[in-house]
Order: sequence, then C-alpha cells, then structure tokens
Amino acid sequence: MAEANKYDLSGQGGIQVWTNLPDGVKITLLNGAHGEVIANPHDGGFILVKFDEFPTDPSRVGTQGYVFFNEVRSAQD
Amino acid sequence: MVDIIRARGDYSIAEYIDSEKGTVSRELYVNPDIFEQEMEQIFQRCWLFLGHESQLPNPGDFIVSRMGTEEVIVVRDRNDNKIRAFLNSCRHRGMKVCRYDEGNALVFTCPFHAWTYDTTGSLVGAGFYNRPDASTDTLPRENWGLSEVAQFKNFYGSLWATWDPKAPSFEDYLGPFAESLRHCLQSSDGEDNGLEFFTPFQRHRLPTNWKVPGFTSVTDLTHTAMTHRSSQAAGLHQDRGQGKEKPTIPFPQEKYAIGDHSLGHGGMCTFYNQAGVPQYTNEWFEPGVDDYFRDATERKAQKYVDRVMAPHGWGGGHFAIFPAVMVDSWRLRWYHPHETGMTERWTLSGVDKNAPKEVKDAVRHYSERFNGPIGFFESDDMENWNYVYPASQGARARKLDYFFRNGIGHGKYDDRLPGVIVNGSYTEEAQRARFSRWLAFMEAKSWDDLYPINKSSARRIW
Amino acid sequence: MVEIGSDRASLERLILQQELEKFLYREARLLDERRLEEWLDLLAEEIHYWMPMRRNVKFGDWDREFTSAETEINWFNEGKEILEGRIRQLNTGVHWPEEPVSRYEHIVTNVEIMDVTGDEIRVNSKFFCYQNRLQDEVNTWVGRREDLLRRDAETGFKVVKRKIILAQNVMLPKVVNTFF
Repeated sequence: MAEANKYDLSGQGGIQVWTNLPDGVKITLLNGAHGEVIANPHDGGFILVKFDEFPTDPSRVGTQGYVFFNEVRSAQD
Repeated sequence: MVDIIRARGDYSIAEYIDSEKGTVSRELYVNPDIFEQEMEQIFQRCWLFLGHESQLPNPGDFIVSRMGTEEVIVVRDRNDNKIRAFLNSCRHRGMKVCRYDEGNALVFTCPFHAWTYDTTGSLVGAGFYNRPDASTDTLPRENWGLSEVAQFKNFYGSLWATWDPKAPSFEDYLGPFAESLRHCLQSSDGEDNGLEFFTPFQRHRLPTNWKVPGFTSVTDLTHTAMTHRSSQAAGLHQDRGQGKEKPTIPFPQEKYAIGDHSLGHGGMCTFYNQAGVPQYTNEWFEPGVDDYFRDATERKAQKYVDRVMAPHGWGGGHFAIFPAVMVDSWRLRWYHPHETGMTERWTLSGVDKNAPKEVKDAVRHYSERFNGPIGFFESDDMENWNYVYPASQGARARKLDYFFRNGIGHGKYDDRLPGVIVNGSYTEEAQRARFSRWLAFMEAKSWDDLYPINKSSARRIW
Repeated sequence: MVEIGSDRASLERLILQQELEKFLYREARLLDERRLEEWLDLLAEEIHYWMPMRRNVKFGDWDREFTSAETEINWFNEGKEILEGRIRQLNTGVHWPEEPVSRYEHIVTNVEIMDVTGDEIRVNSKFFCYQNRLQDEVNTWVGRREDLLRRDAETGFKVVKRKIILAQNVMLPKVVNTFF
C-alpha cells in the first residue's frame, strides 16, 4: 500500500522539513510506533510525539516522548 | 633539581598574609596552584550571581551565564515557570549543550550524540532510543539530567546560586548586607524588586587575576583621583550633569569604608541617621529625567517617613558581595575567573521598571558610555588592572608583598551593622575583610568550618 | 567594462566611488595620525555613531543577533557630544590606556556604494584595525560599516550615520580607545 508521504524527510531539504515539522503531523517510527507531533524544538534532531500505537512497548501508548529523526519511517498529515 | 614551590618559600596559605605588617603576598595573585584551589574552595562553595529575572520573562526563556570558570544555563521552565540553573555540559561526553547566549527553548539538544534535556534539566531523549535495534535496557534515563546547582535563590529579582548543598541560605550568606542588597534592588520610588535590567550582559576580557578587579579594586576609593584623572579633567561627568547642584536640606548621614571579616562582604557604606530619604538633586541633562526622579524620590520619602534606609554604599551603592560582585543601585558588576591571569568582567545596568521611555533611555545611554571597555570612565581602570599582573608575576616581583595596611587597627564594630568593622572612608578595611574570609575559605574543609560564625571576631585576622 | 566618456552616469559613479574611497581613507589616516579633532570635523552634528553587540543566536533568529540601539546595551550608541568628550579625554595625556599612546593602523577596504539619494549616499566598507601598544600588547578589531554620508562643501562628505558591525561577541581587548 502506498502511503501519502507529504513530508519528504530525505536529503538536505529534509533537514528543513524536519526542523519545521508542524504540530499535528502523524509520525510512523521504524519500530512500528505511531503518534502525532505535539511540539518541535527546531533543533534539527528531535520532535515531541504523543504515541497512539507502540507495538514493541504497549505501556507507551498515550505517553509522549522525544523522537529522533533517524527513528522515523514517515511523516504525513 | 630545584623544587620550585619550596624555592619560593615553604608557606602555608596563612603565611601568605602578614596581619601584623598588613601585607598580602603577590603569590596569591599569580600562582596557578592557588588559583585552582580558589576555584574549588571559593567558587564551588559561595553564592554566585547569575543574572536578573527580567532577562527571562517568558516560559522557556534562557540565558547562558557563568559560575567561575564554567558556563551555566539559566532557564525558566515551561510548566512550573520556575527558574533553574544547570552546568552547560552534556552528561554523556561533556559537550556544551547550549552554544547560544540566550533564547527560548523547548529542549537543549547536544550536537554530539543528541542527548536532549528539557527546561527542568531532565534527560528526555537521546538518539537511537526508538530504533528497532536499540538496547533499551542499557540506555540512560533517570539520574542523567544536567548537573543542577545545589541551591538557587531569586532575591528580589536578582538570581543567585551555589554548587554547595551545605552553604547557608542566601540571606544568611549575606548577613547584615541582605537589607543593603534589597535596598539596591528597589526602584527609586522605594518599591521592592522595582528594577529591570537592560539586556544583554556587557562582557569583556581583562588579562589579569580576578582578584585584582574583583576583590581588591571593587570598592577602592583611593584609586579614583589618579586612575580617573582623565575623565574628570575632560569634564565627562558633566555629561550626566552630576554635581550640578547641592541639596539645600542637608541629610544626616555618615560615610565609611566597612568590612565584614566573618562573611567577606563590604565596601563603601552610608549610614542614615534619621528616617526618610535625602532630597533629590538634579543630575541629568536630558529633559524631563530629573522631574521623574524627583517625583519618584518624593514617593519613596512617603514610604520611608517612619523608616531609616538600610545602610548601603555612597550615592546608592558600591559595596561588594564576596567573592566578586559589586552592587550599586543602578548596576550589578561581577567577575568571572578564566585562568590565573585572565578575567571576564560582566555588567548589568538597571532602571525603574515603571519609568517612562525617556528616563530608561537616559539611564541606558549613561550606562553605555560609562561602563566597560568603551566606557570613558571605566576604560581608565583597565590599564592599571592589566599591567599589575605581568609586573607582579616575575620570580623577583612575586617575592614581594602588596600593601593593605591603610587604616589597620583603626576600625571598630558598629551596632548598626552587627559584626562589621567600620573604618575611615579612605582605608583598606573592605579589602582586609575580604582576605580574612578568603583565608577561611582556602583553609576550610567544608561549610561546617565556615558557618555559622560562632564569635563575631572569629574570622578577623587583622 | 565601462566605456569612459560614453556613459555619463557610469563616469559619475566612478568619480563618486573615488571620492568616497578618498574620504574614508582620509578618515582612517586622521585616526592613525592622532589628528582626532580633524576626524571629528568629518562627522555631522547629528551623527548617530553605533556599534551594537552581537549575540550567538540560533540559525535564522537574525533579528536577535544585533543589540537594539533603542532598547538595549550597545558598545557605542551616541552622538557627537559624547564623541567630543571621548576625544577631550584622549587628549588629556593622562588617560592611562593611551599613555603612552598606542600605535593604530586602520585599513579600510571593500568600499561599496549602496544607494545615492540626492546629497546622501549609503556606503558600506570593511575595516581592519591593528593596535600595538607598549612593547607587545596587540589587539585587533575586524568588521564592516554601514554609513550614511552627506555631501559637504568643506570636507567633501560628513558621516551622518555609522553602524559598526564588529566581528566579536565578548569584547576581547580590555579597552577600545579608537574609533572605526
């Protein structure tokens, strides 16, 4: 299934996209977790995500945590 | 092989100060071993000044300040609005986690391996946590937050911290000077916490030992005539209009040099002998500014109609908090050691929060042209403070002593500032008091040996 | 390549460039030769002489980089009256960081005309200022300037506004006793 991948996080342009990723964007992690951006520190490394799925650690569903750019599979509205 | 330290004399720290002769060995100012011991035993223990809350009005606002040779991040938390201070050094491998002078932050992210800390200093993330292949059981979580100061104090808007959990409260550390500092942080109409400070810090380097400007020159009345000959000759004081007129109603007051040998604070001091405040005299050439200050002084006089003002320095300030802060009613000035022979000098200038723009502008412009490396007045000091260092450092020069005898034996205790020695205006009482306390810190094993002060004269060595 | 004589506007521009460079070089020479009152004479009565401080700020927060002349603390932020006071002080012979006097060399370069409006010219330039003092004290200041100059019958131009953009954060030299 081809996902709508509105935010291209690859390459040099991806740094700006990631650094300015707005609140509300949906994030899928490489480990299968899923959540929504609730804050962006604009530091080029992290975004703050509230998780609604976390297959490898279900206790993290409903929690928020900082996600590093290379842990992310995709970002979309 | 010559033992260099012994060649210079096998001294204990106490022997560097001759309390009979009234001298201090130059070794104290030029010896890197003594410098290192000061960093451990003075700057790790004392309450140090960080900045002012007006520099951090909003949640997430931060400034980078210093404590001794080290940087600290001072940040207002986004949730509880509390200001905290942390060493600017990542807990992983020690990189500076913040390389900005100031800003607003959600987190401080280390550019090395991406350990990231929130505005309470907690480690809230690190790269590779959420990778499928992460060894999550070995990754850092609790207890790897930024190193936080042991104690933090917001004292009427001024921010202070110490690395030592055993240090006494900030008020106890200040002792009888707490009310003097509080008074200097009042607006000119007598409201507590009535000042705001102009941003940013004024910072410049000075190639000398920190004690030259920060310890023995901060309240040195006898240097003025010669050091500042040029600014007085050039009539630069008249650019503020100081001394334009004399008060028509004299206000009973006494002026001294004072030193607290037990706590180390002191400097110039004015005791006020009656309730109220002295009559305002015009100082400013900018139109309207004197009107504002005259009106504010009248409002302050109403508040002090039955109260005697706390003793403070001449003309509103100029006393020092141990080890290296100078306090005026219009500025705070302090010194950060870098190395034995390198110091950084920081200044913040304040103004009444509620003053109109033209008053704030006048005060600000005066601060700009008076203070620091471009300040016409203070640039006078820098040559002397710079070159005493190379001229005291040589193998011959360092065997000599500095003279601190002026007024020795003439001081006396005064009930108005318990425990403090009061002496003539042009004496070196404040400097001697700082050395009494310096010696106590350099010899003490911990704060247990430094506080409480058991006998009022316990720390007075001369 | 400008065809001299074929394009009056280009020729005027070349002459203006030459006049401006001459003026800025002369300014530097007067400072280095300690002819400070003559230097003062090149400044307009209403000059705003401004050197902001520069912060380390996050990429993109450029509006926070320079301190505000209106609300914050700056290195220089003044008019002619204060500059005159500074020069009175330097000429007392007892201003210790300049006694004995330092050796200054101001090098001015990268002179660019940004805009010409009637008698007023916005011109940018760069400076390198070397101070050698006593035996071995050396300080350097490097930066650029954004000037507003006005044509003047007597001195060629007068400096009406000068913004001095110094490439420093903490001021590393202990004092600044020259002008840029």
